[in-house]
Amino acid sequence: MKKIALLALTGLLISTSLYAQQSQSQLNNGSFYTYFGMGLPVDVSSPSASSMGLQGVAVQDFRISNIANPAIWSQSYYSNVSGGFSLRTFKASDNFGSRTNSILQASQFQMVFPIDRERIGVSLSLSPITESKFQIQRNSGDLSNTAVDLDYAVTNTGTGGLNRLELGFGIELFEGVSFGYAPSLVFGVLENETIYNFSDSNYNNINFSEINSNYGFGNRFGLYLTQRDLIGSNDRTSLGITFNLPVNLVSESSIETNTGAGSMDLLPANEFGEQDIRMPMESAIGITYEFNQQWLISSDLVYQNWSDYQGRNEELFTDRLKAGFGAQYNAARRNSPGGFFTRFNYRAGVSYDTGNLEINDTQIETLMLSAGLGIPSRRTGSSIDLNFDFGIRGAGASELVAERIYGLRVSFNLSELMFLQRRLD
Amino acid sequence: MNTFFLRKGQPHLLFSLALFSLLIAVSSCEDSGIVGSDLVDEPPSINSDTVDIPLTEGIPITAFSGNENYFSAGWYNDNSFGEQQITGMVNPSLSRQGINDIEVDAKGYLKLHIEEVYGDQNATASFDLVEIGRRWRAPAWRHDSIPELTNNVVASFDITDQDSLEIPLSDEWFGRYVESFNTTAARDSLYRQEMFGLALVPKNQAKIISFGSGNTELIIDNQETSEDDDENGEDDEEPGIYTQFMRATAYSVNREFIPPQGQNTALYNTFENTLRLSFDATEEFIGSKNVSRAELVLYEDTLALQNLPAGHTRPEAKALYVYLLDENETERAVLKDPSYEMLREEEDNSFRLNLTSYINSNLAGTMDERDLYVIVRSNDGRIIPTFIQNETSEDRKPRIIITSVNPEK
Repeated sequence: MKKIALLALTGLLISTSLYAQQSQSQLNNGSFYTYFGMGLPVDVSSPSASSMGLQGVAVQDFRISNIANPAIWSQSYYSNVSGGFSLRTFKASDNFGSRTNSILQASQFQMVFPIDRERIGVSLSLSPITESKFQIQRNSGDLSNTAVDLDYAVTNTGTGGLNRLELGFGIELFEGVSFGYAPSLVFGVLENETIYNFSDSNYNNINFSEINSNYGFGNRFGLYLTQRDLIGSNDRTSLGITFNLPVNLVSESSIETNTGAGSMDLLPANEFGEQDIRMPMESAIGITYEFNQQWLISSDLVYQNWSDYQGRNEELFTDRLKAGFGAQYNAARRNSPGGFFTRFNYRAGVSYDTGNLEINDTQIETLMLSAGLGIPSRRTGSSIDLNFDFGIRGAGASELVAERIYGLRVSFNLSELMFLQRRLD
Repeated sequence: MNTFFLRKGQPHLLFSLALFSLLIAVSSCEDSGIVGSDLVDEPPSINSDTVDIPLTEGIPITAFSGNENYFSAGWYNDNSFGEQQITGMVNPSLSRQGINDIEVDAKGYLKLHIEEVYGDQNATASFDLVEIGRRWRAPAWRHDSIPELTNNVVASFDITDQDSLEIPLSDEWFGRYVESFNTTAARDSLYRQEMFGLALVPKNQAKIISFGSGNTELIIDNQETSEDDDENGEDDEEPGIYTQFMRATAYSVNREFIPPQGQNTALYNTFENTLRLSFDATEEFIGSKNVSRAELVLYEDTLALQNLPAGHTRPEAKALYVYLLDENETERAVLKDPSYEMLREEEDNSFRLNLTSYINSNLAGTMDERDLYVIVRSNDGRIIPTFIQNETSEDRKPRIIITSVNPEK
């Protein structure tokens, strides 16, 4: 109990610091397409669901907390703390060149506590909604209206994104019917730094940063229906539906520079002005069929009406649809003893994402293959999960940037019976 | 207690961390290239603008001429800068290094090295070497102070085109110097109270000559006499030539103040007429807060300088010094080093200075309010005048070339 609390606190602090950090590092650049708008949307899902290519609105696992569907929190049995880190590498190329970016960052952090075991549960989480992590270099220009031959290059570096601090609950209204609601504070800072590097050392490099601060309030609703023995004996069929209301953000922007003599506001917030940013509605539906305790298959469909988005680059956004399908084999739940490979959970899946961007009349689609390995504890409900992803994005037209994505996520899921007095030590 | 992560025999955590670390190591090599630049917004363009400095003023500031690398003397009527009469001043030291006593009948010479000539190179400049009648302190000797001279002309000499010369000093003056030198008690005090050095007073309009201070010498020709022998008939003094360097040098200048003549302002390497550049380095004036380079440009008025007769020369201003001074500092002598140096561009006879740090500090509000004061490099005892085009110039006003970026919404 004390250990879980300590790890929860540590994980929360690490996650918070990683979300807040704006510093440049070698492992700090992600997809090129995070340049647009408020960044690319981040699909927050449980480790088990993401390794099946799913968001997981209908995937319930008592060892692993589910962040996708608030209604599933009602089914919590263990107190659970989950978090982790992801490392992704983007190999981008277009007609002019190629570039490799890598990014290391914290994934979501979540704590779920059963109030009334398998009937009412609450969740507290901190998770990313969008991600803006890019670095774009441009061809050198030349300053033709000066007497000197002055070459320069421009680099844009983006950091930040929107995050969601969410506290919600799930309740089983009737047997097999659960409902969840989660209000949240949506907040985040996006910084787009532009640096002009001059070839002539007599010229100081110029930098300025557009800093965009946002906050707003979000609401998520979830419904989870589950029925055992619907098709065969010992099977379970689950249906999950979530609905995420649009979020109106109060957004404030300013442009600052640092000349070495000090920081200055080039355009302070009161001159740049406040903006109203509207993040889109999201709805998702998923279905899971568990053949038995070892095998399950699941699929879900996520829709976000980004055409309703209001904000920077809004003309480039279009509705997004993401479909995923995956399967899991839980070898650890085999009744018969086995060898080394029977200690793990095996997951795999595929997802297709139309993307929310339409550039040059082409949607930026993503096809992602995922696989995962769950390493459960044989004595407790805890586990470590490894997810591997490989995807292709933006390969629809030659003038776009095509990205190959390689991802690894390590997640920890600490589960323990809490608030239960032990009779024997 | 949850011992999942620590239990022996199930090194899951170690396995995961090792795998993760390996992938970090593999992925940590980023490959930077240019990708997608044609799909994103164009960055704001770089602007290069010129802002004219609205006002320049000739501001006199107290300056000292003593103990510089050079001292000058001469009389010259420059067609551009008017008549300038310079009186040089030297005061030999009284060092016993190498010599204890000087023979009473020894001879004294003042040796001068000519370093630079301003005026008619072929003319003969005549000087009187006149004894100064009042004590003076070189470090506090203003260039416009007037030395108090006696009627005692110690020597007279002419300079035409020689590199150096030795001027024989009168026996009367040198005899008093020897007397002070050979005095055993309080010799230095006696010397300071009774002998104040010599002034190089020009007698005719010809040229102004700058002498090196470090190689100006009092030469003592210490002749041997029979009276040198002591009780044992031995001579305790070494006959020969000895030198004394100058303990003080300075000059006094008497010249007309040249007011701004239309489009130019006279500038010297003394502070007697500094060029103050008046402008507020604000965003409104500069046109940006995001400055990559701010280059101050001052133009020399070469036309106004091109009226020297044949055979006449004028020292060229090779650079300008820029001092950052507040109003209080202009009320007393400027003893600090210059803040910037503007080097001459031979192509367009301009002086240019990278003023970016000054402009950025002003824009950031991190600099105290100080103006720029310009003189010719440097106040080293020579006489170097020039003309700088001022704000009334049609096309060569003092200006700042600003290279900047102005991001927009």
